[in-house]
Amino acid sequence: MVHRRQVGSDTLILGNQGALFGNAMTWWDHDTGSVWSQPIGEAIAGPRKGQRLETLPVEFTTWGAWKDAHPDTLALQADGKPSGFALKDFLIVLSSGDDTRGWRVPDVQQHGVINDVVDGQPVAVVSDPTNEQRWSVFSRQVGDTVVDLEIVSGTLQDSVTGTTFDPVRGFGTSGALGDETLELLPGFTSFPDDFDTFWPDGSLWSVN
Amino acid sequence: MSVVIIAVFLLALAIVVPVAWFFGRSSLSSSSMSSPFSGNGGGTYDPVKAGEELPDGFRQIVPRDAIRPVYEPVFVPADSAGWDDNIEVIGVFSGIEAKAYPISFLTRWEMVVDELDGLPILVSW
Repeated sequence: MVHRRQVGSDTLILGNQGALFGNAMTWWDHDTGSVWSQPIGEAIAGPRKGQRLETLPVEFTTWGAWKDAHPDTLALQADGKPSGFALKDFLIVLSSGDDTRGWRVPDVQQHGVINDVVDGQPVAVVSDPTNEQRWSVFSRQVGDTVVDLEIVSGTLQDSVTGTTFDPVRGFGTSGALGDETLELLPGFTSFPDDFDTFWPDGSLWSVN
Repeated sequence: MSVVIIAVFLLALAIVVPVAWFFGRSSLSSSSMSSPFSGNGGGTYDPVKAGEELPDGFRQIVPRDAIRPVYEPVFVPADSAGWDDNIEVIGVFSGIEAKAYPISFLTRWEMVVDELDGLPILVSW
């Protein structure tokens, strides 16, 4: 996961608490010593208890797929080896307000696009038709219009206006809304067990 | 996953500590990135040590920063990374700057305290 490590005007330096909460990792902040839970990004003890960090959009993908989409990317100077984890083992999760939604990666890959509503907001989870190791979560609200996305001949397209969008970055490529860009939402990947533990009220998408 | 990491950590500790002692070096003084297992974090308020009430399901396993975060990450251009295309990474993109972190590295170090296009971020596994 990736979090913005700022609360108000305070920038936090976070360390590893060395403890588990709900079987997931915890952090400590260097200025107050408060303890934070990673999956929910919330302080669970200490002076900052109850404060939250913003979750940022992040992709779990392969190096090849990432580099194709972002040729100018920087790479952490570190060993990179096969991890044993695969994207298909995860859920893609979006938390908004009091609502949390999870989509199984194989479902997203199978459908190409899943149009959904989270916290009253129309959203879409998109598997890149050119590389199923890439995915994005977008808002479907474009100005006053709510788009209904589908994959047509390998292209991400609004079924109403016929506008086509880049499936990774969301910018319009042709059609009536071609000058618009779909807003990227802070979706992240989660282990299924963590989803059940930290978002017990969250719902998992299914065909029915 | 975290349970596995802790088990690996304890096993590594059982090996590393006697070896480090034998060679007369303190694991606390290591600032290199040769091993994520060092240890730090004393001195600051700790709700666990202070006896503060913690929520159910909280378990302290090892000391703070025993699995040491990367506090000062270094980056290289994509073509200098030396990674195979099929390895798994976490990628972040600000709209201007993109950064990638190998999962195999994050599963050992767990945290990278970083910035993305000037925004302070934390990458964690």
